[in-house]
Amino acid sequence: MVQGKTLAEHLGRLAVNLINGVGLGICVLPLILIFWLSVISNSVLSLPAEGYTLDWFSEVWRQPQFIDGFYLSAMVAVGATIIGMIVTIPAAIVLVRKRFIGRGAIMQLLMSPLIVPAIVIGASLYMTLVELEVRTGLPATGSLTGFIAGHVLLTIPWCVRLLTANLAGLNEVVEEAAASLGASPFAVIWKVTLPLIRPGIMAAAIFSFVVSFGNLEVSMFLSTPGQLTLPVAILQYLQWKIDPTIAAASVMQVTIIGLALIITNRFVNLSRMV
Amino acid sequence: MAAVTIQNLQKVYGDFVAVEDMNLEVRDGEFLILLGPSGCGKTTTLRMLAGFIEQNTGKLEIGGRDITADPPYRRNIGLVFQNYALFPHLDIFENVAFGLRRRKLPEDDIKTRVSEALELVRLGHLEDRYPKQLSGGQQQRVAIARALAIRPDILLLDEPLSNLDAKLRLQVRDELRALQQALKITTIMVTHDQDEAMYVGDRLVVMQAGKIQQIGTPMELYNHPANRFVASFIGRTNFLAGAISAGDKAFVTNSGLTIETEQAECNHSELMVRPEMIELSATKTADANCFEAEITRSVFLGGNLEILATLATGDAFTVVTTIKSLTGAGLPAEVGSRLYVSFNRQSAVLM
Ligand SMILES: Nc1ncnc2c1ncn2[C@@H]1O[C@H](COP(=O)(O)OP(=O)(O)O)[C@@H](O)[C@H]1O
Ligand SMILES: [Mg+2]
Repeated sequence: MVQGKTLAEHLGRLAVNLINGVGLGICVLPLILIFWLSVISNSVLSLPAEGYTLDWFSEVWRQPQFIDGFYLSAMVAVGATIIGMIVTIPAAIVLVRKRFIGRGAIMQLLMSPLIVPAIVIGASLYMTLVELEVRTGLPATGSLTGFIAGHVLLTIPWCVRLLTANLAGLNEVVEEAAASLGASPFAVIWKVTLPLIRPGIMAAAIFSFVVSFGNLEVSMFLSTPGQLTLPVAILQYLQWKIDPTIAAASVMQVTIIGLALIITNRFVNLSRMV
Repeated sequence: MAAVTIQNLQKVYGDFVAVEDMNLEVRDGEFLILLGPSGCGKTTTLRMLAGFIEQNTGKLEIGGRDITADPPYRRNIGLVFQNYALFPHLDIFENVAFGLRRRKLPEDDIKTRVSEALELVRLGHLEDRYPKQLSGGQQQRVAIARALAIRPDILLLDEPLSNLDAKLRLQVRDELRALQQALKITTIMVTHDQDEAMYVGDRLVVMQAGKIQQIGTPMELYNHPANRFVASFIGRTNFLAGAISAGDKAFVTNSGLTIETEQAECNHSELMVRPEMIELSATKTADANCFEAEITRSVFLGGNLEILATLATGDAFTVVTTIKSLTGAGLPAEVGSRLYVSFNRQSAVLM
């Protein structure tokens, strides 16, 4: 009896470890594959590897659309992050601290870009911006402003989610203590609330950056010739040439996103925030 | 330092009255306690004074200044919370300096006043620590220093000792009382703990269901409770149901026991005798009320004894006495022994 029980336990544990291992493998496999493909010497993206080289990384630097794309992606991501934060920090404070009619509806509205497929957002943004261009004569698609406006839509739900979670965990009594000591509502937010939700703000900022930097679906619609974000540039390159250069470009993008996540994790426990 | 006037203060949630038409005068320099069971409206009252809950009706004055419409940050009230509510991102110095910085005091004055405030609670050496690095008792003392540093007109405390363990609670309680005596600052403290209330309070406001039941010194409340609720909430009491027998100053219990009293109003249906007012003896005494009884329960409380003495009529009195007075009277404290319970007319209070 006892032995049977331990055997079942062993088998159970083995099964759990197996499932975990397979799951983890499936998650990391594409990453490993990209890193591997970026250093093979085959002139076409294919296996088996004929040899190994780091030339593809220098090839990336010789392709202006990758350099420009990287630069544009970074600008858009920084812009979308900053504007997203300016919009969502006050919104989150009001949503968590105040009770008013329509509060739930506003919350849902801010979260809704998560439900709508990004490609639909991209398409509808494109139509709106083209209409705007026709009416005003100003360039909207392909402009930095257009990209940032589109990407802010993607970053808002993440920011609202992270900031409201952080704010809800904050004891309101501390803010009352500040008020009783003479702090005006503005001073309470500036001197107490904001410093206390710094982990949430950091997490929201880095998430915004990552979501925007890696976005393809919305950027695809907003790009014009010569104005491509890095993911769109990679896609375009793929359409006429499949060589390990794109793997090398992807490695660079993944590295930047990975670094951003690692930095965030130093400030907040991401697995607990999301 | 200032007197506080509360006039017709009322707070209603839906059709639930949390605080009902409260009128209260707190004297300058007084330590006043709001005492009552959980949910009786103490916190609501305090938060209306601090400005965090808006009253439905009523007027609030501090030192003759009408603060009814002032926001919390203009009331100049020192506030101490049950869970300390220190700023976790600021060190102890900056916690205490917070209110002074809001008042834009010069840096030198801030330093002096923070040091003074921390000296009051004997924590001057912990200026550089963060709240998380302090014990609960230290945190609450910092919170008190922080509230006092702004030199508030009044000090409000909501169950400030409830989160501390038993031993620390007594220590901080003593310190709080000594500090209040030294500074003579008008203080209102909320508690549900009767001992705590009697220990620190000059006057106690006993509340129940949003209403003030009685206001008075601990002694007044103990000796002359306004009603059954106050009598049972302050100290312990023997209640006997019955009626005044017409004409005499005597109360006849439902089981037929006649007890002599000083009062003679007919509209009372209950009589109360404090356990501490009852004497036990081996022989009959000269007291107006003296009955033969049998010990049916005896609990040793270390120094004190709590004895349940049951009469032939079935009426029973809880008696609190000391070992010394029992042995002095030559009485065995065992269940089953026979003795006399006696108390004078003044101790038999009609309710
Ligand atoms: N925001 C609220 N909405 C409805 N009822 C409330 C609210 N705040 C407090 N109450 C009720 O008012 C009563 C008094 O509460 P409170 O003043 O906190 O009591 P306590 O004497 O324990 O401090 C309680 O019964 C509580 O349930
Ligand atoms: Mg309370």
